[in-house]
Amino acid sequence: MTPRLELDDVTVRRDGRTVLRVERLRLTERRVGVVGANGSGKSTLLRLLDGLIDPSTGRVSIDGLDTVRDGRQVRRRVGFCFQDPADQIVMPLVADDIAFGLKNQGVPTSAREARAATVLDRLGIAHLASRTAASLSGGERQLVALAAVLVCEPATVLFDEPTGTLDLVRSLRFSRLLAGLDIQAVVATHDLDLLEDFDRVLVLDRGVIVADDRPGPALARYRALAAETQAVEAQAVEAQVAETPAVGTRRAETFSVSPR
Amino acid sequence: MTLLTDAQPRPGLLRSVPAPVKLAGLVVLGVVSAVSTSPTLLALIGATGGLALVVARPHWRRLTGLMVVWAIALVVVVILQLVTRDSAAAVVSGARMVALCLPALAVMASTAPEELLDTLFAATRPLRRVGLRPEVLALTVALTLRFVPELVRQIETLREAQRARGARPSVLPVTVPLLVRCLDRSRTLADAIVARSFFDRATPLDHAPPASVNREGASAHATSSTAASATPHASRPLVLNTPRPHAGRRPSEESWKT
Repeated sequence: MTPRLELDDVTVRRDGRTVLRVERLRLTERRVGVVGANGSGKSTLLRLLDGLIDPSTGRVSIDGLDTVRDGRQVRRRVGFCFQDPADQIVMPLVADDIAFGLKNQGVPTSAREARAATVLDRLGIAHLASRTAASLSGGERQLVALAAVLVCEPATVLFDEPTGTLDLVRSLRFSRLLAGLDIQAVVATHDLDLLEDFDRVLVLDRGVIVADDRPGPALARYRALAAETQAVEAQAVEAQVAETPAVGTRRAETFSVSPR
Repeated sequence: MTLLTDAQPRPGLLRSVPAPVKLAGLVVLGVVSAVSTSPTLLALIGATGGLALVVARPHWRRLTGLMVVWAIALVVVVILQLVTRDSAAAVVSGARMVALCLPALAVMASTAPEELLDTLFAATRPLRRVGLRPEVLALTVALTLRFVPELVRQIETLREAQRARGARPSVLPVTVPLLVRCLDRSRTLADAIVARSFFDRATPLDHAPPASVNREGASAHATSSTAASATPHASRPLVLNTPRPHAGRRPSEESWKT
Protein backbone atom coordinates (compact mmCIF):
# COMPACT_ATOMS: atom_id res chain seq x y z
CA MET A 1 0.00 0.00 0.00
CA THR A 2 1.30 3.47 -0.87
CA PRO A 3 2.11 5.57 2.22
CA ARG A 4 -0.03 8.53 3.08
CA LEU A 5 1.79 11.85 3.45
CA GLU A 6 -0.32 14.53 5.11
CA LEU A 7 0.08 18.23 5.84
CA ASP A 8 -2.54 20.09 7.86
CA ASP A 9 -2.52 23.86 8.27
CA VAL A 10 1.24 23.91 7.90
CA THR A 11 3.32 27.05 7.79
CA VAL A 12 7.09 27.40 7.85
CA ARG A 13 8.46 30.77 8.90
CA ARG A 14 12.02 31.94 8.65
CA ASP A 15 13.36 35.36 9.64
CA GLY A 16 9.78 36.48 10.22
CA ARG A 17 8.79 35.55 6.68
CA THR A 18 6.45 32.70 5.71
CA VAL A 19 8.34 30.52 3.25
CA LEU A 20 5.69 27.80 2.96
CA ARG A 21 1.98 27.67 3.66
CA VAL A 22 -0.11 24.56 3.03
CA GLU A 23 -3.68 24.36 4.32
CA ARG A 24 -4.35 20.72 3.60
CA LEU A 25 -2.46 18.22 1.46
CA ARG A 26 -2.82 14.43 1.15
CA LEU A 27 -0.31 12.56 -0.98
CA THR A 28 -1.14 8.90 -1.59
CA GLU A 29 0.05 8.55 -5.19
CA ARG A 30 3.16 6.55 -6.12
CA ARG A 31 4.72 9.35 -8.15
CA VAL A 32 4.35 12.95 -7.07
CA GLY A 33 6.22 15.82 -8.73
CA VAL A 34 6.88 19.23 -7.21
CA VAL A 35 7.80 22.14 -9.47
CA GLY A 36 8.29 25.84 -8.89
CA ALA A 37 10.79 28.64 -9.28
CA ASN A 38 13.91 28.84 -7.15
CA GLY A 39 12.87 29.88 -3.65
CA SER A 40 9.26 28.75 -4.12
CA GLY A 41 9.39 26.26 -1.22
CA LYS A 42 10.10 22.91 -2.94
CA SER A 43 13.04 21.93 -0.75
CA THR A 44 11.24 23.15 2.36
CA LEU A 45 8.29 20.90 1.53
CA LEU A 46 10.56 17.87 1.08
CA ARG A 47 12.46 18.57 4.29
CA LEU A 48 9.20 18.87 6.18
CA LEU A 49 8.15 15.44 4.93
CA ASP A 50 11.36 13.85 6.22
CA GLY A 51 11.22 15.64 9.55
CA LEU A 52 14.45 17.50 8.82
CA ILE A 53 12.68 20.74 9.69
CA ASP A 54 9.71 21.33 11.96
CA PRO A 55 6.64 23.22 10.81
CA SER A 56 6.18 26.57 12.56
CA THR A 57 2.49 25.72 12.85
CA GLY A 58 0.37 22.74 11.86
CA ARG A 59 1.13 19.05 11.55
CA VAL A 60 3.01 16.86 9.07
CA SER A 61 2.51 13.11 9.23
CA ILE A 62 3.51 9.98 7.37
CA ASP A 63 0.96 7.17 7.76
CA GLY A 64 -0.20 8.82 10.95
CA LEU A 65 3.32 9.26 12.38
CA ASP A 66 4.02 12.86 13.32
CA THR A 67 7.32 14.02 11.80
CA VAL A 68 8.17 16.06 14.90
CA ARG A 69 7.07 13.62 17.58
CA ASP A 70 7.95 10.36 15.80
CA GLY A 71 10.96 11.54 13.79
CA ARG A 72 12.85 8.33 14.37
CA GLN A 73 10.12 6.14 12.88
CA VAL A 74 9.51 8.62 10.07
CA ARG A 75 13.15 8.53 9.01
CA ARG A 76 12.98 4.73 8.86
CA ARG A 77 10.15 4.93 6.36
CA VAL A 78 11.27 7.94 4.36
CA GLY A 79 14.55 8.26 2.47
CA PHE A 80 16.01 11.52 1.20
CA CYS A 81 18.15 12.02 -1.91
CA PHE A 82 19.86 15.40 -1.86
CA GLN A 83 20.54 17.47 -4.96
CA ASP A 84 24.30 16.97 -4.84
CA PRO A 85 24.97 13.31 -4.04
CA ALA A 86 28.46 14.23 -2.84
CA ASP A 87 26.81 15.92 0.14
CA GLN A 88 25.13 12.78 1.38
CA ILE A 89 27.95 10.26 0.97
CA VAL A 90 29.50 10.42 4.42
CA MET A 91 31.88 7.45 4.49
CA PRO A 92 35.16 7.26 2.55
CA LEU A 93 34.40 3.85 0.99
CA VAL A 94 31.30 3.07 -1.06
CA ALA A 95 30.58 -0.20 0.75
CA ASP A 96 30.80 1.52 4.13
CA ASP A 97 28.53 4.32 3.01
CA ILE A 98 25.88 1.88 1.78
CA ALA A 99 26.00 0.17 5.18
CA PHE A 100 25.94 3.46 7.16
CA GLY A 101 22.15 3.83 7.35
CA LEU A 102 21.64 0.16 8.19
CA LYS A 103 24.26 0.33 10.92
CA ASN A 104 22.43 3.31 12.41
CA GLN A 105 19.24 1.27 12.39
CA GLY A 106 20.90 -1.54 14.31
CA VAL A 107 20.87 -4.09 11.48
CA PRO A 108 23.40 -6.91 12.18
CA THR A 109 26.60 -7.05 10.11
CA SER A 110 25.71 -10.18 8.10
CA ALA A 111 22.29 -8.79 7.13
CA ARG A 112 23.89 -5.43 6.30
CA GLU A 113 26.35 -7.02 3.90
CA ALA A 114 23.65 -9.11 2.22
CA ARG A 115 21.30 -6.16 1.75
CA ALA A 116 24.10 -3.91 0.50
CA ALA A 117 25.17 -6.54 -2.04
CA THR A 118 21.56 -6.93 -3.23
CA VAL A 119 20.97 -3.23 -3.76
CA LEU A 120 24.35 -2.70 -5.45
CA ASP A 121 23.57 -5.58 -7.84
CA ARG A 122 20.11 -4.20 -8.51
CA LEU A 123 21.50 -0.81 -9.52
CA GLY A 124 24.32 -2.41 -11.51
CA ILE A 125 27.08 -0.84 -9.40
CA ALA A 126 28.46 -3.86 -7.52
CA HIS A 127 31.87 -3.08 -9.04
CA LEU A 128 31.95 0.24 -7.15
CA ALA A 129 31.74 -1.33 -3.67
CA SER A 130 35.46 -1.11 -2.92
CA ARG A 131 35.95 2.30 -4.55
CA THR A 132 36.47 5.51 -2.60
CA ALA A 133 33.73 8.13 -2.74
CA ALA A 134 36.24 10.70 -3.97
CA SER A 135 37.06 8.63 -7.04
CA LEU A 136 33.47 8.36 -8.31
CA SER A 137 32.09 10.29 -11.27
CA GLY A 138 28.95 12.42 -10.90
CA GLY A 139 26.68 9.70 -12.32
CA GLU A 140 28.25 7.02 -10.13
CA ARG A 141 27.81 9.20 -7.06
CA GLN A 142 24.14 9.61 -7.89
CA LEU A 143 23.69 5.85 -8.04
CA VAL A 144 25.67 5.25 -4.86
CA ALA A 145 23.62 7.87 -3.00
CA LEU A 146 20.42 6.26 -4.27
CA ALA A 147 21.67 2.79 -3.28
CA ALA A 148 22.47 4.07 0.20
CA VAL A 149 18.88 5.27 0.54
CA LEU A 150 17.22 2.21 -1.03
CA VAL A 151 19.20 -0.26 1.08
CA CYS A 152 17.21 0.92 4.11
CA GLU A 153 14.04 -0.17 2.28
CA PRO A 154 12.07 3.05 2.75
CA ALA A 155 8.46 3.13 1.69
CA THR A 156 8.89 6.67 0.36
CA VAL A 157 11.89 8.45 -1.14
CA LEU A 158 12.10 12.21 -1.46
CA PHE A 159 14.27 13.46 -4.31
CA ASP A 160 15.51 17.06 -4.28
CA GLU A 161 16.38 17.97 -7.88
CA PRO A 162 17.83 14.53 -8.64
CA THR A 163 18.85 15.34 -12.20
CA GLY A 164 20.20 18.80 -11.43
CA THR A 165 23.84 17.74 -11.77
CA LEU A 166 23.42 15.03 -14.43
CA ASP A 167 23.93 15.14 -18.18
CA LEU A 168 21.18 14.09 -20.58
CA VAL A 169 22.17 10.42 -20.81
CA ARG A 170 22.34 10.04 -17.03
CA SER A 171 19.12 11.99 -16.57
CA LEU A 172 17.34 9.55 -18.88
CA ARG A 173 18.93 6.64 -17.07
CA PHE A 174 17.76 8.03 -13.75
CA SER A 175 14.27 8.47 -15.18
CA ARG A 176 14.16 4.80 -16.23
CA LEU A 177 15.53 3.73 -12.88
CA LEU A 178 12.93 5.76 -11.03
CA ALA A 179 10.15 4.24 -13.12
CA GLY A 180 11.30 0.77 -12.07
CA LEU A 181 11.35 1.45 -8.32
CA ASP A 182 8.50 -0.02 -6.32
CA ILE A 183 8.31 2.83 -3.84
CA GLN A 184 6.48 6.07 -3.43
CA ALA A 185 8.59 8.92 -4.84
CA VAL A 186 8.17 12.64 -4.31
CA VAL A 187 10.42 14.51 -6.73
CA ALA A 188 11.17 18.24 -6.64
CA THR A 189 12.67 19.16 -9.96
CA HIS A 190 13.14 21.66 -12.77
CA ASP A 191 13.31 18.78 -15.26
CA LEU A 192 9.71 18.82 -16.51
CA ASP A 193 10.25 15.84 -18.85
CA LEU A 194 10.90 13.69 -15.79
CA LEU A 195 7.35 14.29 -14.57
CA GLU A 196 5.47 13.29 -17.73
CA ASP A 197 4.42 9.87 -16.44
CA PHE A 198 3.81 10.96 -12.85
CA ASP A 199 0.47 10.55 -11.10
CA ARG A 200 0.31 14.04 -9.68
CA VAL A 201 2.21 17.32 -9.86
CA LEU A 202 2.17 20.20 -7.38
CA VAL A 203 3.11 23.70 -8.54
CA LEU A 204 4.55 25.98 -5.87
CA ASP A 205 4.77 29.73 -6.15
CA ARG A 206 6.16 31.85 -3.34
CA GLY A 207 5.47 29.18 -0.75
CA VAL A 208 1.92 28.38 -1.82
CA ILE A 209 0.57 25.49 -3.89
CA VAL A 210 -1.04 27.19 -6.87
CA ALA A 211 -1.79 24.06 -8.90
CA ASP A 212 -2.32 20.42 -7.94
CA ASP A 213 -3.25 18.21 -10.86
CA ARG A 214 -2.21 15.57 -13.39
CA PRO A 215 1.13 16.41 -15.06
CA GLY A 216 -0.42 17.89 -18.25
CA PRO A 217 -2.60 20.61 -16.69
CA ALA A 218 -0.22 21.25 -13.79
CA LEU A 219 2.81 21.77 -16.01
CA ALA A 220 0.77 23.98 -18.36
CA ARG A 221 -0.12 26.11 -15.34
CA TYR A 222 3.54 26.22 -14.31
CA ARG A 223 4.62 27.33 -17.80
CA ALA A 224 1.94 30.03 -17.82
CA LEU A 225 3.09 31.18 -14.40
CA ALA A 226 6.70 31.35 -15.59
CA ALA A 227 5.63 33.40 -18.63
CA GLU A 228 3.66 35.79 -16.40
CA THR A 229 6.62 36.21 -14.07
CA GLN A 230 8.93 36.85 -16.99
CA ALA A 231 6.56 39.51 -18.40
CA VAL A 232 6.28 41.23 -15.03
CA GLU A 233 10.06 41.24 -14.58
CA ALA A 234 10.57 42.63 -18.09
CA GLN A 235 8.09 45.43 -17.36
CA ALA A 236 9.84 46.20 -14.11
CA VAL A 237 13.21 46.48 -15.88
CA GLU A 238 11.72 48.75 -18.56
CA ALA A 239 10.15 50.96 -15.89
CA GLN A 240 13.45 51.18 -14.04
CA VAL A 241 15.29 52.19 -17.19
CA ALA A 242 12.62 54.81 -17.98
CA GLU A 243 12.93 56.27 -14.48
CA THR A 244 16.69 56.81 -14.77
CA PRO A 245 17.19 58.99 -17.87
CA ALA A 246 20.36 60.55 -16.53
CA VAL A 247 22.24 57.25 -16.64
CA GLY A 248 20.95 56.58 -20.16
CA THR A 249 22.03 60.05 -21.31
CA ARG A 250 25.47 59.74 -19.83
CA ARG A 251 25.91 56.35 -21.44
CA ALA A 252 24.76 57.71 -24.81
CA GLU A 253 27.19 60.60 -24.48
CA THR A 254 30.03 58.35 -23.50
CA PHE A 255 29.65 56.02 -26.42
CA SER A 256 28.56 58.49 -29.11
CA VAL A 257 31.01 59.36 -31.85
CA SER A 258 30.70 62.97 -32.81
CA PRO A 259 30.94 63.66 -36.54
CA ARG A 260 33.92 65.67 -37.60
CA MET B 1 42.21 3.04 0.66
CA THR B 2 44.48 3.87 3.58
CA LEU B 3 44.78 6.92 5.75
CA LEU B 4 47.80 7.91 3.68
CA THR B 5 46.60 7.42 0.11
CA ASP B 6 43.41 6.52 -1.75
CA ALA B 7 44.89 3.14 -2.74
CA GLN B 8 44.08 -0.15 -1.03
CA PRO B 9 46.66 -1.48 1.46
CA ARG B 10 48.83 -4.15 -0.19
CA PRO B 11 48.64 -7.71 1.11
CA GLY B 12 51.60 -8.82 3.18
CA LEU B 13 52.86 -9.76 6.61
CA LEU B 14 51.97 -6.49 8.32
CA ARG B 15 48.59 -6.32 6.56
CA SER B 16 47.62 -9.65 8.12
CA VAL B 17 48.30 -8.47 11.68
CA PRO B 18 45.01 -7.41 13.35
CA ALA B 19 44.52 -3.64 13.59
CA PRO B 20 44.13 -3.61 17.42
CA VAL B 21 47.52 -5.35 17.80
CA LYS B 22 49.19 -2.87 15.46
CA LEU B 23 47.63 0.10 17.20
CA ALA B 24 48.55 -1.22 20.66
CA GLY B 25 52.14 -1.70 19.49
CA LEU B 26 52.13 1.81 18.07
CA VAL B 27 50.93 3.26 21.37
CA VAL B 28 53.67 1.44 23.29
CA LEU B 29 56.37 2.57 20.85
CA GLY B 30 54.97 6.10 20.93
CA VAL B 31 55.09 6.29 24.73
CA VAL B 32 58.62 4.86 24.85
CA SER B 33 59.76 7.30 22.13
CA ALA B 34 58.17 10.24 23.90
CA VAL B 35 59.81 9.57 27.28
CA SER B 36 63.13 8.11 26.19
CA THR B 37 66.23 10.31 25.79
CA SER B 38 68.50 7.49 24.63
CA PRO B 39 69.55 8.08 21.01
CA THR B 40 70.33 4.36 20.65
CA LEU B 41 66.88 3.23 21.75
CA LEU B 42 65.19 5.88 19.59
CA ALA B 43 67.30 4.90 16.60
CA LEU B 44 66.39 1.25 17.20
CA ILE B 45 62.68 2.10 17.27
CA GLY B 46 63.08 4.24 14.15
CA ALA B 47 64.90 1.44 12.35
CA THR B 48 62.19 -1.02 13.35
CA GLY B 49 59.55 1.41 12.06
CA GLY B 50 61.46 1.86 8.81
CA LEU B 51 61.70 -1.88 8.34
CA ALA B 52 57.98 -2.25 9.09
CA LEU B 53 57.23 0.44 6.51
CA VAL B 54 59.21 -1.44 3.88
CA VAL B 55 57.41 -4.67 4.81
CA ALA B 56 54.06 -2.84 4.55
CA ARG B 57 54.88 -2.07 0.90
CA PRO B 58 53.12 1.30 0.68
CA HIS B 59 52.47 3.04 -2.63
CA TRP B 60 55.73 4.98 -2.48
CA ARG B 61 54.97 7.29 -5.38
CA ARG B 62 51.79 8.50 -3.70
CA LEU B 63 53.66 9.00 -0.44
CA THR B 64 56.26 11.30 -1.96
CA GLY B 65 54.52 14.57 -1.01
CA LEU B 66 53.95 13.46 2.57
CA MET B 67 57.53 12.25 2.94
CA VAL B 68 58.91 15.53 1.61
CA VAL B 69 56.83 17.54 4.10
CA TRP B 70 57.92 15.22 6.90
CA ALA B 71 61.59 15.48 5.91
CA ILE B 72 61.37 19.29 5.86
CA ALA B 73 59.78 19.25 9.33
CA LEU B 74 62.55 16.94 10.55
CA VAL B 75 65.28 19.25 9.25
CA VAL B 76 63.58 22.32 10.77
CA VAL B 77 63.31 20.64 14.20
CA VAL B 78 66.94 19.52 14.15
CA ILE B 79 68.18 22.97 13.09
CA LEU B 80 66.06 24.66 15.77
CA GLN B 81 67.49 22.35 18.42
CA LEU B 82 71.01 23.02 17.18
CA VAL B 83 70.46 26.77 17.31
CA THR B 84 68.60 26.96 20.62
CA ARG B 85 70.25 24.07 22.50
CA ASP B 86 73.08 21.71 21.47
CA SER B 87 73.95 18.88 19.11
CA ALA B 88 72.97 16.16 21.61
CA ALA B 89 69.46 17.61 21.93
CA ALA B 90 69.23 17.90 18.14
CA VAL B 91 70.14 14.22 17.72
CA VAL B 92 67.57 13.12 20.33
CA SER B 93 64.82 15.29 18.83
CA GLY B 94 65.55 14.07 15.31
CA ALA B 95 65.69 10.45 16.39
CA ARG B 96 62.45 10.88 18.34
CA MET B 97 60.66 12.25 15.29
CA VAL B 98 61.86 9.31 13.24
CA ALA B 99 60.88 6.87 15.99
CA LEU B 100 57.42 8.39 16.27
CA CYS B 101 56.65 8.76 12.56
CA LEU B 102 57.98 5.68 10.80
CA PRO B 103 56.04 3.09 12.84
CA ALA B 104 52.90 5.25 12.48
CA LEU B 105 53.37 5.38 8.71
CA ALA B 106 53.83 1.60 8.63
CA VAL B 107 50.58 1.04 10.54
CA MET B 108 48.60 3.48 8.41
CA ALA B 109 49.98 2.06 5.17
CA SER B 110 49.01 -1.49 6.09
CA THR B 111 45.57 -0.90 7.63
CA ALA B 112 42.26 -0.04 5.97
CA PRO B 113 40.55 2.98 7.56
CA GLU B 114 37.43 1.00 8.43
CA GLU B 115 39.62 -1.32 10.54
CA LEU B 116 41.19 1.69 12.24
CA LEU B 117 37.74 3.20 12.81
CA ASP B 118 36.39 -0.03 14.29
CA THR B 119 39.41 -0.28 16.59
CA LEU B 120 39.09 3.37 17.56
CA PHE B 121 35.39 2.82 18.24
CA ALA B 122 36.08 -0.24 20.41
CA ALA B 123 38.93 1.46 22.28
CA THR B 124 36.89 4.53 23.08
CA ARG B 125 33.73 2.64 24.05
CA PRO B 126 34.43 3.03 27.81
CA LEU B 127 34.19 6.81 27.29
CA ARG B 128 30.41 6.37 27.15
CA ARG B 129 30.51 6.23 30.91
CA VAL B 130 31.64 9.84 31.03
CA GLY B 131 29.00 10.92 28.51
CA LEU B 132 31.09 10.82 25.32
CA ARG B 133 29.87 8.97 22.22
CA PRO B 134 32.58 6.93 20.47
CA GLU B 135 30.49 6.62 17.30
CA VAL B 136 30.60 10.41 16.96
CA LEU B 137 34.39 10.29 17.23
CA ALA B 138 34.50 7.52 14.61
CA LEU B 139 32.18 9.49 12.32
CA THR B 140 34.35 12.57 12.71
CA VAL B 141 37.42 10.64 11.58
CA ALA B 142 35.44 9.07 8.70
CA LEU B 143 34.17 12.45 7.54
CA THR B 144 37.70 13.85 7.63
CA LEU B 145 38.89 11.00 5.43
CA ARG B 146 35.90 11.40 3.16
CA PHE B 147 36.16 15.13 2.59
CA VAL B 148 39.90 15.82 2.41
CA PRO B 149 40.00 14.78 -1.30
CA GLU B 150 36.87 16.90 -1.94
CA LEU B 151 38.55 19.86 -0.29
CA VAL B 152 41.64 19.46 -2.47
CA ARG B 153 39.43 19.26 -5.55
CA GLN B 154 37.57 22.42 -4.54
CA ILE B 155 40.81 24.30 -4.01
CA GLU B 156 41.93 23.31 -7.52
CA THR B 157 38.60 24.46 -8.99
CA LEU B 158 38.81 27.80 -7.17
CA ARG B 159 42.39 28.34 -8.33
CA GLU B 160 41.35 27.65 -11.92
CA ALA B 161 38.48 30.12 -11.54
CA GLN B 162 40.87 32.76 -10.24
CA ARG B 163 43.31 32.12 -13.09
CA ALA B 164 40.47 32.30 -15.63
CA ARG B 165 39.68 35.77 -14.32
CA GLY B 166 43.28 36.84 -14.67
CA ALA B 167 44.05 36.94 -10.95
CA ARG B 168 47.51 36.15 -9.63
CA PRO B 169 47.83 33.09 -7.40
CA SER B 170 46.90 34.24 -3.91
CA VAL B 171 45.63 32.68 -0.73
CA LEU B 172 42.78 35.05 0.17
CA PRO B 173 40.69 34.82 -3.05
CA VAL B 174 40.72 31.04 -2.64
CA THR B 175 40.23 30.88 1.12
CA VAL B 176 37.08 32.99 1.37
CA PRO B 177 34.98 31.13 -1.24
CA LEU B 178 36.38 27.85 0.07
CA LEU B 179 35.15 28.68 3.58
CA VAL B 180 31.73 29.67 2.23
CA ARG B 181 31.47 26.44 0.26
CA CYS B 182 32.59 24.37 3.24
CA LEU B 183 30.00 25.98 5.50
CA ASP B 184 27.29 25.43 2.91
CA ARG B 185 28.28 21.80 2.45
CA SER B 186 28.50 21.20 6.20
CA ARG B 187 24.88 22.25 6.60
CA THR B 188 23.66 19.86 3.92
CA LEU B 189 25.91 17.16 5.26
CA ALA B 190 24.44 17.60 8.74
CA ASP B 191 20.95 17.20 7.25
CA ALA B 192 22.07 14.09 5.38
CA ILE B 193 23.48 12.56 8.57
CA VAL B 194 20.20 13.22 10.39
CA ALA B 195 18.20 11.85 7.44
CA ARG B 196 20.28 8.68 7.54
CA SER B 197 19.30 8.06 11.16
CA PHE B 198 22.72 8.61 12.72
CA PHE B 199 21.25 10.38 15.73
CA ASP B 200 18.52 7.75 16.01
CA ARG B 201 20.93 4.89 16.58
CA ALA B 202 20.67 2.76 19.68
CA THR B 203 23.26 3.29 22.36
CA PRO B 204 23.29 1.06 25.43
CA LEU B 205 23.73 3.86 27.93
CA ASP B 206 21.19 6.23 26.46
CA HIS B 207 18.98 7.61 29.19
CA ALA B 208 15.51 8.97 28.93
CA PRO B 209 15.63 12.76 28.79
CA PRO B 210 13.17 14.90 30.73
CA ALA B 211 9.86 15.07 28.90
CA SER B 212 10.10 18.81 28.66
CA VAL B 213 13.44 18.66 26.84
CA ASN B 214 12.56 16.61 23.79
CA ARG B 215 9.18 16.33 22.19
CA GLU B 216 10.21 13.30 20.20
CA GLY B 217 11.64 11.58 23.22
CA ALA B 218 8.69 12.52 25.38
CA SER B 219 6.34 10.82 22.99
CA ALA B 220 8.46 7.78 22.27
CA HIS B 221 6.98 5.68 25.06
CA ALA B 222 3.46 6.60 24.12
CA THR B 223 3.86 5.95 20.41
CA SER B 224 6.32 3.10 20.15
CA SER B 225 3.67 0.38 20.16
CA THR B 226 1.45 2.07 17.60
CA ALA B 227 4.44 2.94 15.45
CA ALA B 228 5.66 -0.63 15.51
CA SER B 229 2.33 -1.98 14.43
CA ALA B 230 1.89 0.65 11.74
CA THR B 231 5.27 0.20 10.05
CA PRO B 232 5.46 -2.04 7.00
CA HIS B 233 8.91 -3.11 8.19
CA ALA B 234 7.74 -4.12 11.64
CA SER B 235 9.85 -7.27 11.44
CA ARG B 236 13.01 -5.17 11.42
CA PRO B 237 14.75 -4.49 14.73
CA LEU B 238 13.11 -1.48 16.27
CA VAL B 239 15.10 0.97 18.33
CA LEU B 240 13.31 1.00 21.62
CA ASN B 241 15.56 3.20 23.66
CA THR B 242 14.59 6.79 24.14
CA PRO B 243 16.68 9.29 22.22
CA ARG B 244 19.21 11.51 23.89
CA PRO B 245 18.19 15.12 24.34
CA HIS B 246 19.80 16.13 21.07
CA ALA B 247 18.52 13.15 19.09
CA GLY B 248 16.21 14.18 16.30
CA ARG B 249 17.30 17.77 16.54
CA ARG B 250 17.69 19.61 13.30
CA PRO B 251 21.27 20.79 13.21
CA SER B 252 20.68 23.35 10.52
CA GLU B 253 17.18 24.67 10.59
CA GLU B 254 18.31 27.71 8.65
CA SER B 255 20.14 25.70 6.06
CA TRP B 256 17.59 24.41 3.61
CA LYS B 257 16.91 26.03 0.31
CA THR B 258 13.38 27.10 -0.37
